[in-house]
Amino acid sequence: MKKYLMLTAALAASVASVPAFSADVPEIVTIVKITGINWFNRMEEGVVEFGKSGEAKTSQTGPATADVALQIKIIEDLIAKNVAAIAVVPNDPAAMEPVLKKALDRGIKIVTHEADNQVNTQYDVEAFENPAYGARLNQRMAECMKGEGKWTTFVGSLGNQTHVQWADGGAANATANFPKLELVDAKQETNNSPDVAYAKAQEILKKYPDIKGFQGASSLDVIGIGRAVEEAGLQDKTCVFGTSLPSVAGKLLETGAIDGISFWDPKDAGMVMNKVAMLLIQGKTVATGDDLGAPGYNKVVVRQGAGAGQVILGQAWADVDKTNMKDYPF
Amino acid sequence: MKSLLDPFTKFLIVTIIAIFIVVGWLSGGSFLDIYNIQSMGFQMAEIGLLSFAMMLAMMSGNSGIDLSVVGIAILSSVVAGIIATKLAGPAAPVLFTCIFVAAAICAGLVCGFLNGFLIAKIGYTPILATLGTQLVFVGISVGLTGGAAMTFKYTQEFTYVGNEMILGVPIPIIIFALATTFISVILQIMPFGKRYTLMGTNPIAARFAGLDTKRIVMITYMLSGFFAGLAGVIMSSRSNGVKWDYGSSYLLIAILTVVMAGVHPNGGSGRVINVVLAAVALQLLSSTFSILEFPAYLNPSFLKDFTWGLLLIVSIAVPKLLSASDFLSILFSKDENSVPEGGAAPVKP
Repeated sequence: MKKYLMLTAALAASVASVPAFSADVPEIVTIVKITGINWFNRMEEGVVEFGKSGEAKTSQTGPATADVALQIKIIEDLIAKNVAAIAVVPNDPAAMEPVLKKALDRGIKIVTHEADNQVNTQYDVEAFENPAYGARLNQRMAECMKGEGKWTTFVGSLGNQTHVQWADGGAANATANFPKLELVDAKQETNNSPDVAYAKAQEILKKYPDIKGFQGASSLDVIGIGRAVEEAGLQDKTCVFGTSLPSVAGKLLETGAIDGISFWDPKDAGMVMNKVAMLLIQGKTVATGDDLGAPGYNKVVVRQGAGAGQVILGQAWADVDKTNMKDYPF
Repeated sequence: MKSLLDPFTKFLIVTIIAIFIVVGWLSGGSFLDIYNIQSMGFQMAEIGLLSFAMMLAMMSGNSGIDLSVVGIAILSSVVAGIIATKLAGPAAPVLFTCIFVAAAICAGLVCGFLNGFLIAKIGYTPILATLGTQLVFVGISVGLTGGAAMTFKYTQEFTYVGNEMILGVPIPIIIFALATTFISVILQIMPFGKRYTLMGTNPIAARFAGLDTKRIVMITYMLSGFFAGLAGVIMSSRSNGVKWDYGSSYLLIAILTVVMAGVHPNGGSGRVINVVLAAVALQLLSSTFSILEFPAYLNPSFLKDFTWGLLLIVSIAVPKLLSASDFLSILFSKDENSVPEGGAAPVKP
């Protein structure tokens, strides 16, 4: 038995080396789809920056793989911890409904992002109107393709509301403005993985050797597509556009494998989510025309959401190609 | 008669108590809050049930493993969702729930039957058979749902199964407790359990003893499918829907739980109580990393994976070392398989 006592002491000592905190300011926790990728690392900068104001204690966490089941568990733990507010970027808004309802029932403030169909939320923050953003990406791609040829769309997953809206918004724009564009095998799922995107792009290139356009959704889609295009030596014959960050897509932008990217700054989105959560904690509301203190969110539009909550829309997108990528060092 | 506390049981109990004391203290008591205990109860049942499914396959010997447990859980929920929606719409939520549960369990049994058939009748290695069926089950789920999440509208009662409590006890934990009793009765009391354990320990001896090993393997994988189907019910109830990639990270966690519980990968030995304790220990650690605060440079998610891995290694090493009479004897012992002088060569099965 003595050995077990020593073992307990050893375990205790190893865990005890982790510092504990306690503070009187409200705690806001941001839960992202997956931790450790550039996109959400950049978001964390915004989360941390908001925390520096001292109004609230802010932190960011998320699962190590983009599995919504793990995200639900993290939120459940935070509900138990009874934090003041939760800001979440759901992997799958529908699957999150019961756990977010549980949080609201316990009086925890909820802010979501990339989930304008979420019912159990108080405010959903969107950088822009999603179909319009998809159409904007498609417009750039179609112009690059000179208005004709086969093209396809990639999404992180079909359950991902925004990705699907961009793909559909793009398709709608092509149908309306570019009759000679032919959409083939739309909405390839990439699981937010560049390797899957690479494999899918290779399959598409094999199936349609004359394909000219790719529209990616996940920040890693264009990386996989770009790699496949480059290996096939088709940089000059294809137009690859999608959501990504210069730090992720920079190299392939320079070689021309990726022709252009668009994005919203996740740092600003992270900051605005926390700002809105803080307003909720203070019992305030957000109305159309309000300035939320970040670029592109200076005059937001507020509309009714899918449930009792509301959707906050900014105008925060940036179009980047190899000429202006240096202006966005992240 | 096995002693009540084998080294794995002791180690896991000590670990659980240690986590409670240390994390309870570090969190200023909020970890020991009844709400947090309940919250952890909601979370651990699905992993616990999948671990039972995994344990049954591993204990059956013949390098048994069931890589398709998550696939079965997903496919069962998808099939049950389609059937329940057809037979009972949003207007009859209680009927919907009953049909869903029955259909999911039946689908789990059918999936398990397929695994058992491939392994027992056709002679596939379990790892190959279930790797194949895992992909088949997920593939069918993607096909049936079109890859999107299948959401059950206006069936509030269905979400009660995974999200409500009876007398302060989360319903998933009640289901898990019933499942624990069920599996214990099968393995400890019913004649099937004796035959199953014998087969897991030595399949050749079992066959020569006149046991119908093929039938036992079939039943084992069907039981495995049963528990996976039940896990599917809780998973889809907790998210009020099902999607093909939901719980994709659970397979490794289930294997981790079972191995940590001291279930021997070569079959035969393994105890239900240890699997329950291992599931509890992993859940406690998992919640620890969500509740405690860490310096920004330590990413809690990766720290959690790291700690789980560490706990796995320690949980296998420590009981072995502690049960050895002399600590050093393990380090300096001669190769066990070496032939003692004048002795007979060991017979390999």
